[in-house]
Amino acid sequence: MTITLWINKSDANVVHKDLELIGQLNIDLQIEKPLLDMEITTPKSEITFNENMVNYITVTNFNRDYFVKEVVKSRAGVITFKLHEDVLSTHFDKIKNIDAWILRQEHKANLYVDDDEIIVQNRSDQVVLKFPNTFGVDNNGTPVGTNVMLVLGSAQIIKEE
Amino acid sequence: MVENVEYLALSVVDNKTNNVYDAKAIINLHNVKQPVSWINGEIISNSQYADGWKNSNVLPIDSLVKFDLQKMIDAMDTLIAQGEKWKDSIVEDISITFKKGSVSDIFRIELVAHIGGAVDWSNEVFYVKFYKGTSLEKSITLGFLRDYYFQGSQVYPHYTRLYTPSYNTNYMILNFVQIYENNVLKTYPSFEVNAYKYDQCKVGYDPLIAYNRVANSANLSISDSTVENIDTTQPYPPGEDEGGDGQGQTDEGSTPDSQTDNNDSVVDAFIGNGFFIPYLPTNATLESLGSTLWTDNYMQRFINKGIKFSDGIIDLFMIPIRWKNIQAVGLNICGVDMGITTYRATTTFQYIDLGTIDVPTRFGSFVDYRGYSTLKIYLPCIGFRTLNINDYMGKKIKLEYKVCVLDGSFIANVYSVDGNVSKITEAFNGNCALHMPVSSGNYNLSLMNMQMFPPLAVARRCFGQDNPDIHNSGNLSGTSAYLGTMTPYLIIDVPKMQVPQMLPTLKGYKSHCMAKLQDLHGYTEVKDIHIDVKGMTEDEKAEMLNILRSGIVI
Repeated sequence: MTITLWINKSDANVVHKDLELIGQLNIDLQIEKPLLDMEITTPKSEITFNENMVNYITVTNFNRDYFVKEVVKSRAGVITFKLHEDVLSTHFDKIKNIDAWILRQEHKANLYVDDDEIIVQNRSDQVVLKFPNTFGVDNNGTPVGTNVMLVLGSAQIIKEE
Repeated sequence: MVENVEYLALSVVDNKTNNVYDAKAIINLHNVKQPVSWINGEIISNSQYADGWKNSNVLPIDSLVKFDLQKMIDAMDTLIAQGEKWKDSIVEDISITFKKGSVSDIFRIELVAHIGGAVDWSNEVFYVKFYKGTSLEKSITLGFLRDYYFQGSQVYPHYTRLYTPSYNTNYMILNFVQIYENNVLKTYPSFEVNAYKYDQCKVGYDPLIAYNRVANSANLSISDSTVENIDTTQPYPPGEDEGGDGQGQTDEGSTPDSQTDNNDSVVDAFIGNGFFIPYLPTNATLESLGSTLWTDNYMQRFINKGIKFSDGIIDLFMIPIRWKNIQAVGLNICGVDMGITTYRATTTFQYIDLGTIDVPTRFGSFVDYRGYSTLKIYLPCIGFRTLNINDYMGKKIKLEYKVCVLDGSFIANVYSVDGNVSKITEAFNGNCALHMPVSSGNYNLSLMNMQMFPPLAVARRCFGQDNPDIHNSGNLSGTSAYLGTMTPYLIIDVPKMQVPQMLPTLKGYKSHCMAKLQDLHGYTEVKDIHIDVKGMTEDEKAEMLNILRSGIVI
């Protein structure tokens, strides 16, 4: 079984990893089916590179990628890579066509939904917007007004006795 | 991401003439690592104001400028094809969104650069992406990054720092820019003279910037415009992917316009009922009346009737509007013809339109709405009142007073105007009558004396005040109203933001939409997904779901 060893420069949650090839090994894997966690053992003599640099392994037969959690060296000259599957990178292509309920996204946002991550200060800015017209002033800016006198009676003159 | 980046789709229009002027886009680029030269420019005019503008770098009050986006993009294409190179500017992920003329498409010009932190950018690779909505139209790789200077529809690649618009204290302080956002033209207050508006900007920052908004593609990109079909079996229809106004489903019909109320004509029937008359005497008439009343002839006539003339005068006051519906009549008091011709009101109510203004969003997000921002309105002769900001944010407010001639009372109708839909959402009552004594009765008006005081002189003194900094008034009705400002205005309180620069990259923004992961890029958190695929064990599916929920980077 062939495994490919890499230096992974990306964070674990990055889908498409930035990988630098270190080398390949032929190993005798004792398991037949892939597991989330497994170990790969190889004689130190088989390794022509610094095994401590390896943090990412592709197991070709399983078509899966793995994070190297730990590199253990035994006195017997055996190197053991303790692996945990990179489920995200391995299977992303299988799920990328499925409709997902997206909770948060860097570019596709609904900014009108309350967001606890958006922090506002106690300070505020004030915006003052004036209406175009003033009460009591005509279009030329001249004050206007009307006197109103409420009077008992009517417009009809009553003849005096 | 670049901080302190503002973008402008500068809209400068003369609000009085509606003339539209060419503009120079102003792109202010600042970088976290090192300040870079920034582009600035001036607003120029293509009309008769051009010379004055160019000579003095003066920005007309309430100017509006629009871009022709297609010409800008064509110009950029031409320049790039000619081998123009970028230089100097450190741009990481800045988006500049413009509106293309009056078309509904929104173009986003995205300048994306790989930044290695080197001072010499000659070996860096930059590219420009042109988006139409959320679809990538074109991606161009460039050798260098360059400040682009947009002048109206033209793009000039050679300008870095330019002269800044110079302002002086003669300027109107507030100006507005209009930016198309989600296909809606909105107006924002743009800047203030003699002030560096945004405290995180570098020294020397010129305040000709739209508003303090960290530019990144999430902020500027439009939301997914597709609206899912309502599943009739669901009790709750799925929310729109575009943010709504937070009000849920509302009846978009208009409320009755106060000017079409049927009760006006009914009430008007009482105004000439013969029991009382609302005369509208001029100042000269009042002075003449005052003189006439104290003559022996008229004094005797009232005595003969067994009354005093003041018994016949119910009220005398001034209201700060010019009453339109009037009729010339002879003035008589309690049946005594005073021999004076004056006017009377023929309608009970009169409408005063105080205008309509935009209520601009500041951030285009939930922060603009209730719970974070507040909206107060100052109403002449009433005072400050708090409005429900959700009713008006992103829309227009129309203010109308309906004044009653019989006692000076009025109702202030506040309309929310959204496109062609106008509805009264708030109403406040007040009184604008400035009373004048007609006898030695008990008036506590310190402004009045025993003569027939010309009311307009009082009004002129009071109307001269214009202090928008009055806060927290009580009721300003009656006489006290004239001691305050008579121009209504809005006060919008918007919180200052404290948003980490790397927030979109590390945490993204709230989305709550359905999408395929292949259509997304950047930080993504999945709420849920039904993983039903072959080739994955159950353990792998479970772990995949956990990883997706904790956030991934596509």
